Amino acid sequence: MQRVFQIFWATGILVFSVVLGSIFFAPDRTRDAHTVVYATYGDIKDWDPAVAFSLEVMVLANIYEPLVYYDGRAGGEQVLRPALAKSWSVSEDGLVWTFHLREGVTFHDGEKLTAAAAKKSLDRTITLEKGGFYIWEAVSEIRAVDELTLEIETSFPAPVDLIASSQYAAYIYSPAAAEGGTEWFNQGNAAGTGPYRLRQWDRNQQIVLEKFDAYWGGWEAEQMTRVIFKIVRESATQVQLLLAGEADFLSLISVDLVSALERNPEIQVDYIPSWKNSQFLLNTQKAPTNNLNFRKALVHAWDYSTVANQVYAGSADVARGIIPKSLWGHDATLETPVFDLEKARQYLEQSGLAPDERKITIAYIAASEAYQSAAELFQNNLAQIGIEAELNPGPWGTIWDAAKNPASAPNAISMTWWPTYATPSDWLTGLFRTEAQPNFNLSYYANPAYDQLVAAGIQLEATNREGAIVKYQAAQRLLIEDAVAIFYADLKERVLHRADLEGVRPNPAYNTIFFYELRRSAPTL
Amino acid sequence: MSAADDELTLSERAGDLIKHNRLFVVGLIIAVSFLLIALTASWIAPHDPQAIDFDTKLAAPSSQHFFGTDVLGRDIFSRVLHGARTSLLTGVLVVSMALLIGLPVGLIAGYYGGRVDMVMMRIADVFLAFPPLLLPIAITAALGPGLYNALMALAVSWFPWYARILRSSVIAVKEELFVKSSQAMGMNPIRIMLKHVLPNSTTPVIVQASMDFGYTILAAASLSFIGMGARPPTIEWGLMISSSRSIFLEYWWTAFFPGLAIFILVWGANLLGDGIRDLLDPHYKDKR
Amino acid sequence: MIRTILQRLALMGLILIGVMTVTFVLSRVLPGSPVEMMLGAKPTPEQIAQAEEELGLNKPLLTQYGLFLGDAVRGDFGESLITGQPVTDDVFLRATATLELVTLALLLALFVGLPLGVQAAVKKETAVDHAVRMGSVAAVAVPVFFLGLLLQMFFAGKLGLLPLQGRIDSGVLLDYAFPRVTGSYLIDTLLAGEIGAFASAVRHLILPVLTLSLASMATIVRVTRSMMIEAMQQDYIATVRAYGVPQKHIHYRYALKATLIPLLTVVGLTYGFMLGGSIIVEFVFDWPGVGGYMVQALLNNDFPAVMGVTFFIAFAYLLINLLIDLLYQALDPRLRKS
Repeated sequence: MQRVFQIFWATGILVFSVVLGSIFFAPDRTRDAHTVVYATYGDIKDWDPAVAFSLEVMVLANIYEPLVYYDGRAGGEQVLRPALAKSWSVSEDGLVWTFHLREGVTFHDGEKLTAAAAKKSLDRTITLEKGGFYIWEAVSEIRAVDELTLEIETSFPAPVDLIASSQYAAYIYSPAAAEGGTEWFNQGNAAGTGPYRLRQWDRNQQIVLEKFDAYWGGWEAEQMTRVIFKIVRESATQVQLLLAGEADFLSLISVDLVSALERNPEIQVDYIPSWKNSQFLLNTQKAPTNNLNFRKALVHAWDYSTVANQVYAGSADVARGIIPKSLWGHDATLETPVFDLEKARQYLEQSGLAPDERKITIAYIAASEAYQSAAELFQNNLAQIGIEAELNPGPWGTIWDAAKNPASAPNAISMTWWPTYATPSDWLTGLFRTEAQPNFNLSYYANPAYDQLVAAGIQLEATNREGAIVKYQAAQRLLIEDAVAIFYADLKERVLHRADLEGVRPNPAYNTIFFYELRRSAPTL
Repeated sequence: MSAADDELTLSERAGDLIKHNRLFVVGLIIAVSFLLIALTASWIAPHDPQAIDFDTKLAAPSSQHFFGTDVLGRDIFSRVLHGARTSLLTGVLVVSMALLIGLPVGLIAGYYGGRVDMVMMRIADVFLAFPPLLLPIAITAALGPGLYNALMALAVSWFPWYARILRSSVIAVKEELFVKSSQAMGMNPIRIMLKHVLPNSTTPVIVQASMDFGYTILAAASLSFIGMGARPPTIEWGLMISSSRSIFLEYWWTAFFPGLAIFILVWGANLLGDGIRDLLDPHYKDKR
Repeated sequence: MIRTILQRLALMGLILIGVMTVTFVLSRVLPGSPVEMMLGAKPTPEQIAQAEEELGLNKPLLTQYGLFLGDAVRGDFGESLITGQPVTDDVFLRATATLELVTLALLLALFVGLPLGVQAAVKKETAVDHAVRMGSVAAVAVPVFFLGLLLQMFFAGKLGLLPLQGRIDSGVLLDYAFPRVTGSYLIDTLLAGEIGAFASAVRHLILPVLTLSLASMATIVRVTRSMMIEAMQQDYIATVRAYGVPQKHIHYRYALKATLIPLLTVVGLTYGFMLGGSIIVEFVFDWPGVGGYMVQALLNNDFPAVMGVTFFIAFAYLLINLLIDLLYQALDPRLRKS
């Protein structure tokens, strides 16, 4: 008995001292000023740059490089910057693009960048047919003319330089990596030309990149040598890490916390133009939203300014149509519906629907607070004009699946869209082109006149930008006339980071931070 | 030692409990208060719980809004009051549905024994082997989110416990003299089960159920927390906490008060459950 | 004895098959094609169809089930649709993380709960007893999310003594290599002799373990107390007391011993429960464990992962209860006959 007591107390004291010891004799926790920590909300699934089509680009964009970078200014002239190609030109007939590659560039595994290597990358990406490969639809052949000259031939004129700047499916990777294939990549390997190489991948915990000494861009003393992506799933924890200085960037933030964080001198909030916008697609083939007047009632019952200013707390602008404000092709003169319950009531009467037919279902991604609040507000407003709305939140996979089946599809579904590369046609075709089997055209919109306008625009895009814009804007007007969706928010992207980091120059074309450009302005604690 | 307490009747025990067991009284008070709140919420709530008002969005607790307002400017105090209804309903529904399914299963398995018993208990084992939240989540995902689906899912995961407990009691009671004589007299087995066996074997199950009441509320709140339970416009405390998860650091009242409400109700329910157990326990007198 | 063990194992196998079948049916009924989730932002219908073909999702249900069982028996649960890694690898990684957390939480709950329960029983109806009972009933009622967040905000946020989340410091993970032998960071770092890494692992365990163990601690207190009281009222205790055996001896030598055995059952149940129930703690502290994996798999209808995780948790739960039952029989001579 005595012995049991003794053992008990001894164990207790031992454990207690170990715990205390570990707290107070911790290794030095001051962080190296040349390490930057990014709190991300999910682990990487696809390491293969030809397949990656999701949040991986955050990491991959620092390991790999495309031929060309998009460096646009908001709404203005688009500028393409040389990346792996230092110059390029297109033939008279617009069908052959020639890219002159940079000399002396090596991949992380030691291989040299040659036209043959670039050709191998792009060919593989196209034949694999995964991810965003379809941006190369127009390409008929890729040729390595000499060691540093690459030719891309298309079957119809297409803006290949713009396409080559895409953040998906346009990376150039080492030919040895191409041989290794998806399996090699997914074991946590990478071989690009970018400033950082993959150092470590601890599943579900962190990804570490480190400086690639032989990067063609060269290095200066103050640049970041190490990038740690910590996987932190809760937004509240990410915020705490940021405040404690243990993370420099976060990826999940509630809009309502941004203003509080902005007031903190240690945190900086950069607003950047983004091409993301949100809408609620209205099902044009399911009762009662198959009734045009009913749809018009809905688009006038949405409180546009309250949603943008209050629900999104200033991180969104009211949308004007489907083409966002910051992209070329935006129509600032477009007439769009405003919040007017009286008008909504009139349209409702004109619809001729009986009171018990005035019921709709609204599906949206449950995890989004913005959708949630906006939907609840909408439900409230609709109730005031006698429309009953049933809210069906869920994970994207589930609601998308239900929406693709006419029987289970909701009357309205949330959608946030951004282009694979910088063109209005991405929205116009992706969301509203006639589809025999709905993919993302969850409005079930089938209008041949509209399809023709968009197709015509695409044909013109490479050679006659002005003409293409005319077509695109006409198509957009059809969407408004037919009230196919509630276009409500052009999203402003914010990047929150520790104030001592400079050089954060967010770019709407890439969902990433280019860590190579960062420097610290003051020594960290 | 155990002979004497057969003499205390149920009401005597109850009176005794109230007089001497302070914790039971506390539990009773809490339970009754929440019941009253649930019934009168529409009248005593100072604001409409669904009224959206962006001007007062995320306001700190004040005399206007005792518990502050949420992200849509709704009064949290009123929402907490209305949420009581949902939580009490949750506890009652889940436990009763689980009993409804579990009692017949346990009764039949215990009474008939043999093959029937083995099959039923193996099925119960399969259900019990599932990781705790897996079945509710999977069933809710299959049926679609929503409070009632979540409650049904919880009830389906719960009933095996009750079936097992009842079965054990039934097996014991089955051997009692009065049951044996009824069988000898050729009484209809169903009559025997319902009239003689069941009433005498429910005590352990009732005890367990009363203690589970609090737990089901927590489980339902957890489901809402991961997005698989109640949906708007339903007002549920777990859902309120879930919605305020990311802003809690800055706007503590949006999660604190619903959380406090869950805590107090579950605590009261547990105290009450403990008391009921003491009440129905045949060895009650010895434990005082 | 051997025969009992074999019988129980066979039974366990049967139950596992039952569990897997039910899970299979459920996950096929779940809405949302898993394939869409795994293909990224904007998959084309052709890509989706192709992926479904590759995964064999177009075959009839019975065939799929047969194929699945065939593979499962060889330990192959396929690849997760979300992570792309073999499910067995995923589950092993995750499972060891949860096991480390849960085992320590249970040990803490026992270490603190048992003595408290005993004291409460021994000092029945005194202030100590009341305080312990009030405290334990209250502890069970605290929503876990709250507790975790509060501890996080206080010890990590305000005091800065403990880390906010994760299993180990990022820097440590990078600079101190230690081979993953058991999957438990505590054991592996010690085996590798990396004391700095060990200290880091300890620090990261403190808050999650505290959060997870509180409710179980309370349950153990209550159960110990009531079983101890019941034991102390047994006839043989009165006899021993009549013989003049000292109080302390009676409490600890006799009553407690009698309590320990039934307590085992509660321990087994609690352990099994915590395995799948650690979800919220894992979310709050970014503990890369099985709970979060399971929720993610269910929400995304990651069918192979759902099957793999369910199998592991059910297996662990059944195994633990089997061991407890056997231990029970071994320790309590009265039960051996039955």
